[in-house]
Amino acid sequence: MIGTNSVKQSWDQILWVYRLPKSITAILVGSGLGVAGLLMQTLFRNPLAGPYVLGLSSGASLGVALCIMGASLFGGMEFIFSQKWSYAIAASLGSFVVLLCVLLLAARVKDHMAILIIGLMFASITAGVVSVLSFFASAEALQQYIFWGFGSLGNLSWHELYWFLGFYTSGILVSLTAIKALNSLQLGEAYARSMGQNIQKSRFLIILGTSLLCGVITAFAGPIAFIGLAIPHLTRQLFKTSDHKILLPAVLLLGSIVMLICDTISQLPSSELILPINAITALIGAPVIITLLVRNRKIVF
Amino acid sequence: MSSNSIEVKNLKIGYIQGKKHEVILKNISFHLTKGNLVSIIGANGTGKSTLLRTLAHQQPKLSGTVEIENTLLENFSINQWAKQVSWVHTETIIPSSLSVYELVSLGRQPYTNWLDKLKTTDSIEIEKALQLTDLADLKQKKCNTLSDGQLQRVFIARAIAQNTPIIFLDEPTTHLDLHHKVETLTLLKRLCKEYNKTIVFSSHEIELSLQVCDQVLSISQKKVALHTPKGLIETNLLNELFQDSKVHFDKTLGKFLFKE
Repeated sequence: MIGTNSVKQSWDQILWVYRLPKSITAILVGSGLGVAGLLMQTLFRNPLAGPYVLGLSSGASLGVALCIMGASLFGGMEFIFSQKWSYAIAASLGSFVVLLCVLLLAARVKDHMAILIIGLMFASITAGVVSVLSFFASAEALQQYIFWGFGSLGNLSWHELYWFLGFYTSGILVSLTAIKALNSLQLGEAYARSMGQNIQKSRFLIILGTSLLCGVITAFAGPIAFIGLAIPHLTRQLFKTSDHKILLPAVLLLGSIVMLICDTISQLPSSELILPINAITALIGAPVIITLLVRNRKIVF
Repeated sequence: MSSNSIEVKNLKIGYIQGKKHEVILKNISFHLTKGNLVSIIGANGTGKSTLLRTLAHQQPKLSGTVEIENTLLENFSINQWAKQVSWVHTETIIPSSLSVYELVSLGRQPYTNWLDKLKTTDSIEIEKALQLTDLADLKQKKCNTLSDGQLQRVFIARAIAQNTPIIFLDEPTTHLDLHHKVETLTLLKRLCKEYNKTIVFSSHEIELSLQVCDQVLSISQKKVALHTPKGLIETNLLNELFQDSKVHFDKTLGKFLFKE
């Protein structure tokens, strides 16, 4: 931090107001989505489960869409609906509802692929509702929603970051309480019950943790693809264990690292351009999944 | 009556679908004493698994009572129950990243804290279970690399690690060759005698069950009855087990034979 006063000031500004909140957001997003993915994969015992695939991100999007575009329809309550924390609550509720529906239906169909297709269908339903909303919404609200939909790690003030951190921490804490249940759920619910797990309670905790994490991340950073699916797989490959008291912290760590790398790439060093973060995660995440699939013939869970 | 391990009175089992009860078997009454190996035999679809699952608290009973160690089934808390009864069925998807040691150590869950941390006593129980099932050399292996026979032993080891007086097994001998069937049943017999456990399993291996078990629960013509193997052979029940079938049971040979 050398140089003249004015240079130093602008550097200060860049670092404290822009770069640091962005890095913290990247850490929260990467680790949070990783944990949400891990919880989903263990709960559904499905290697392809993840917040994006099962329609949780779409549920969260619907919540945000209702906030952004619905506010102008209902009017009068714009102050409440335009706050970022209300996005977070709406998005968490949105993913909670979708997850609950998917889970209820998953109890009836035991097939892995059927569950994924149900997730996709829910994503279509929410997309349909969002289309209807955007048809009636004002131009500004629609634009605001579309920009949000690109996904972004920046744009968060310190004040918003506190809200983010609050929701994120509660999501992580809830997930931590489910570690033991997650371990036994690997053998299925019948076994978990026979080993002294209260299935109803632990299932609720897992759903709550996932929707809090997924909801708050989608609300603040937009729907971000592939991270939730890819991180748990990478972690299992690297740590070669399925004990969740090791996996969970490892996913937190690895998720943060991968997301920071994605963020660095999206900054495009030596250029003023910033690529949309979703493009980077897809470019990195999708090949990871394909490589894993090809190398192991089938994806490992 | 302290040696009464399992006491079943007037039990009615089946499935609840909405308000309709689909009854599979009713008027089931028997009691099993400690240290016995008991096999449930019957044709496909007679309710072997339903009976076993009901006894193991995996599905609700329709009516009647089941007492385990003189306590009613429904009076156990989930964790108390997990310390009384362990449950084995192999028809489950196993995550491939799970190692033998990790799977067996899951059996210690009723005793571990919220983080699932293994204490010294837990490690000792796990090692003991691995020794008994002859798995000590395989403990670092991943479960998806094991053969069916080895996997069966891993699941039994998990139940041993859970250290419960009662073990229920759902068809523990399916997919195994004769050698491994005998090995599995011998292991179960040894657990009953050396550790005074009560073990109940469902099986299609009638001939082997008759040789190794202390008691046999037969399900035929919607009736459940408890016999000693000898007593069962004396009655004509084994011939009624499979109706209109092309086999009959030869009492002197102790074998099922083709009808001429």
